[in-house]
Amino acid sequence: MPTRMELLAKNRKFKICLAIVLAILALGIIGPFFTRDPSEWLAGDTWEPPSFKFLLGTDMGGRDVFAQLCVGIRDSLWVGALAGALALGIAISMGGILAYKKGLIDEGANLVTNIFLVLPQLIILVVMASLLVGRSLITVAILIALFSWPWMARNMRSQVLSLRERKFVDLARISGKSDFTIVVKEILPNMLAYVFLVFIMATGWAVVMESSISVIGLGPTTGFTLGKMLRLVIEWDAIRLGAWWYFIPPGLIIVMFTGTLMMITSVIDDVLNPKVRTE
Amino acid sequence: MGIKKLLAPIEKSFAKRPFARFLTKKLLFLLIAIFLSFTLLFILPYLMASNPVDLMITRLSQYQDVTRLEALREQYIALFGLDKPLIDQYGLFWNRVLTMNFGPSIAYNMRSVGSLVGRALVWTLALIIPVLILTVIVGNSIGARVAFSKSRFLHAFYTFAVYLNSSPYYWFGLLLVFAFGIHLKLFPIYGGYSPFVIPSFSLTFFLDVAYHWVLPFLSLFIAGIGGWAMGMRAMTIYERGSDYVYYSEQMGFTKSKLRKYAQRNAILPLITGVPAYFGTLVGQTLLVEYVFGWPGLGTLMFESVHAIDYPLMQGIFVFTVLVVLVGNFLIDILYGFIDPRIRTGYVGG
Repeated sequence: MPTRMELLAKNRKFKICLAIVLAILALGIIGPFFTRDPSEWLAGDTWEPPSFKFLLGTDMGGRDVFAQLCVGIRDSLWVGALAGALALGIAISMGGILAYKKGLIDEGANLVTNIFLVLPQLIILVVMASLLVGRSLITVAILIALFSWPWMARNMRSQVLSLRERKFVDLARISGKSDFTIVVKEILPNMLAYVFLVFIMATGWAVVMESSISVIGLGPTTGFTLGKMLRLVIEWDAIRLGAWWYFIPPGLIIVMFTGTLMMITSVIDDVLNPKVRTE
Repeated sequence: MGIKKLLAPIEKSFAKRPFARFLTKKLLFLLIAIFLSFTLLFILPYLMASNPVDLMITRLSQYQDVTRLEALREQYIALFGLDKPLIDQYGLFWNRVLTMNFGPSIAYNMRSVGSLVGRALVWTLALIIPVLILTVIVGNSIGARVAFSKSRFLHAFYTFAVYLNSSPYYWFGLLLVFAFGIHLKLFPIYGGYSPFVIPSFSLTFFLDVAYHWVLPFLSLFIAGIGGWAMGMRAMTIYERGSDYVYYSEQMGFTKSKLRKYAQRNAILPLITGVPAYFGTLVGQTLLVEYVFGWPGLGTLMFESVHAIDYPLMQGIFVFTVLVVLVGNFLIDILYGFIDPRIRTGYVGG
């Protein structure tokens, strides 16, 4: 019987997906060290098409688009990962610890989760972000995290509710451990793989959210995210000017990154779930 | 459990009428959700330690002279009741919400926010409702087909849709603008109707709107299919392994018949996801509207953000949240009719 990791490592789809994600990560982490300053005005001509000097051409201000893209990936992923981690923390408290308590506390937490689940996240983010004059990358990540945890909390809750009936949890309870310790030390390690998957999906979602509020001009006021590039695409009418080297890369990177993450979760389900596995 | 004892008589009176119980439960949830989300809107400025009136006045000071500004400031302080204690401000807030009187909009020449938002809402609904219905139907059907078929074309399309689904939809909209609007010049790329056509209840106006409607609709529709297809594929594969499908297969039923059986059972768990999807779809629609200049809530939202028009922003918030919550309520009730198990609160295996 091959282990889970071996099964995954043999899957061709999984290998391709992993390669795409790693390539994007590498571009964002290593790229900015080798490119010129993305905010340097008139490094080249206005709207210069791609060439060897400028791999992805220049924007209206003559700035290097490839440099913007590398820094954009870095900043977008930083916002995404931070928001994903924060949202996961909220989800674990709301859907994990409070669900474990059962009764009224759980019911209350569940009601709040369900309300947050159906609220239109974007419009709340817009009102909140517009009330802040300056927004750092971290502020934006916190704002996104505040409203993207409900679906995770809901899934987490159903898992915790089934795990809490297991024998080893009973044993921990009898030995007098606190509820918090039981959830963190006994229950969570048993759903670690799931928690990791949720974190991946939350990161992808946060990257999309960042680009969404950035495009209406409410993204981070510092840094250079992919959303900011898309904002400039619209502001400078790059579409009508036919500057494909400016409007295709930032969106394509977001689609490739978040889409591949979604694919990975689907492939993992296909490979590891014996009920689904066909080959 | 104290609360259970308190509720016992109510539970008893509902015991014979499961649908009334279901309806009451959903209605209560709707009211609580509306109350809490509007209260959230009220406390947001205090939470963010920010004062919308000051933000608006600072922004306006670039264009207006001082005496006019002071008058405006007085007007806003009276509108929000900022000189009164917090509890009175909260009362005034609800008064504004219930009478739909959010004050004048700076971005739109001091016109009333209520009428601006009301008009935009019609445009937004004209986009959202068809997209919601068609993505759910087409997405689920594609997901079920992918689970049963080996067609390469279908699988390629499925992968494409899944990728698009987790992208910002407006970017796909931009690509459509580039391809069909600018390159092929097939469709108009901006606005809800042509500048020379006067809005009226006539066929020409309607056709003109439909012509402008195609591209924004397609960006939302194509990008929205993937999520449903993905969920449906996974659920159908589960169903494919169950005994009744195996039995039917041995009976020699055709593939399409097997798929139909599996699809019917697989769709139920997915349907509970529609309310959450609706909230997301509304957000995506607002952005697509902005990209296409579609005269709905999204374009209005962008203007309100641009001009720091807080009354308008509040109006858009209230209307959007109402649309989402009431929409979810209606969807829930509809399911009650479709699936009796939901109606009677049956949640067993």
